[in-house]
Amino acid sequence: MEIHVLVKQTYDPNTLEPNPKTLEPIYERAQTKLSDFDLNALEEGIRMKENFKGRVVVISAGPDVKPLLIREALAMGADEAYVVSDKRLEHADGWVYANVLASLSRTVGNADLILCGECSVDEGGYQVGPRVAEKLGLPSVTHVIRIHAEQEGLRVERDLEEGREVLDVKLPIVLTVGLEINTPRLPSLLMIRAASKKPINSVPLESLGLDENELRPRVVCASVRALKVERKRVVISGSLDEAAEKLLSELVREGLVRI
Amino acid sequence: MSGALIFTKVREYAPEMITAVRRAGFDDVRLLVGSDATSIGEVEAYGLSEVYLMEGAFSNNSFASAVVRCSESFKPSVILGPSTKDCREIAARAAQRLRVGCLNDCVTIEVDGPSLKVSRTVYGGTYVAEQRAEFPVVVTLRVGRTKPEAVTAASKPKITRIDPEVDERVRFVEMRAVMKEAVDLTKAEIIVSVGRGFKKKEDIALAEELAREVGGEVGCTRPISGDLKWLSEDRHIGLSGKWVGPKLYIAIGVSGQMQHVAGIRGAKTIVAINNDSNAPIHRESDYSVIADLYQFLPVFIEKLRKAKTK
Repeated sequence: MEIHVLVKQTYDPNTLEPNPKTLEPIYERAQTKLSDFDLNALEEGIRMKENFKGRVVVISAGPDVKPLLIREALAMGADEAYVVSDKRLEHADGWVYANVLASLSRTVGNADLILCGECSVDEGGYQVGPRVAEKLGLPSVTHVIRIHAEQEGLRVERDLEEGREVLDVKLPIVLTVGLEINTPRLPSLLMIRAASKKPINSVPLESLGLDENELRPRVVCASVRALKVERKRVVISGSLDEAAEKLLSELVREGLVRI
Repeated sequence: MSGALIFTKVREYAPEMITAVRRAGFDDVRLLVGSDATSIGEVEAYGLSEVYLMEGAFSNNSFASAVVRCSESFKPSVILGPSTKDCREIAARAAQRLRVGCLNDCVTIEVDGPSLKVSRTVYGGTYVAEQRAEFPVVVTLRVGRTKPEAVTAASKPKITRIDPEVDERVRFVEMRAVMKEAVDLTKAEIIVSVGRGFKKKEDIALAEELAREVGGEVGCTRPISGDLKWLSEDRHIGLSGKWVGPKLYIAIGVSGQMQHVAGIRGAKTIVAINNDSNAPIHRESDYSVIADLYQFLPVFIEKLRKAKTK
């Protein structure tokens, strides 16, 4: 089975501090990582490979894709990676990313299964998976929490607002997953070492055959500001007894706990 | 600016979505709904010029095709649905086919010249972005934020039936009900929340005891309901669970991962009890107690009881 996993490099929101005056994020000081749900997609792809043979290809695109993060994905158990790293993707939106990722996936070969996170942790757009499916003429199923292989195709379960939906799907297909589906493995030292030999193929954006319109973002981001919730950040110290006493009197004083 | 097309698989969301686009200034509003004619009467009052009905069973892929077909004949400026898991997928597929922008999970929408200006949360709910897309654009809007408003003397809309495109590749098997307790944390005034600092399922009794004493509900982080299944899924607070806004939120043994904190930003006061002074939850709290929960909780509960009987 040929499995393509789409992964995105994002800023880690836990390290993205706002400028105290403008409330804009200070990107220069933030760390980058692979988007959380994409790691769940990767884990699921690797499990499929372990059960049914085949290979897992990591597909990634962005303005400045760090090889170190792609190595992390390879260390988890993917076989090779294809990456488009190009400054022109600086302001890419869901339309542009989907066009690039779909073309890149097609360049690599015909996938039986394309997996990705249901949304990225930075943009939270919930669109790249279904858009890639549309571009490749494939069906898609989002918010998948369980995948079983069947005689023909897959049986998948989705976690929806109104319950758990069960679907039988044929391959090839695009599936998006979230945190619920699995816990991504932490690669062992041995796996990290083995990953250094796996190929990371750098693909030029021009070679994908996309026209100007397909690379023109539809969405423009005008501003990003921290959702500021001021907290008092009072640390209650002292012995257990003193701390309990202080906390209780604060909560009673604020009218939060009635005694 | 021409009209707006509302799309929703579930009829219940139609009134607030219609109201939202009317408030944004759209007069010609049409609705594509996955429903039959019998139940359509009650949405007519919100002001529609045409209703496209798609009856029977269909996949999201074929509903997206219907959105595209309606858009091609009516040429709306805005194509808007509720931000549900199904409709966000439909929005993305339709936008790709129409070669236009897609803005999912918007908090507010506003017409700004030949484009739509929206606000959305990004970076796991920690930042708000103002984004803009030229018409036509496909949008999904968070539900439960717009109070539906009927239009006086609404005219009877034209009804058009749409046949679902058959998609053999995705076949519906069943919808299973998920076991839920009768608890709605989004309405709770006080929440006592359980994190991975709890070592055994039985220990949650401590949190439940505190919740009883303060008159609150018990909530939890994702590992507690997801991986460990110690509590039911409807108690899961965070990015992929419930977004809550109690007046008091007591986080016990909760580390404060971004995914969880996103769900508690609406809380008025946050108390953290965690023995790790470096846990991120302390930065998100009004009151922090750096102590072992197993030692602190019994003392605190005892004090609370004594104070009440005084």
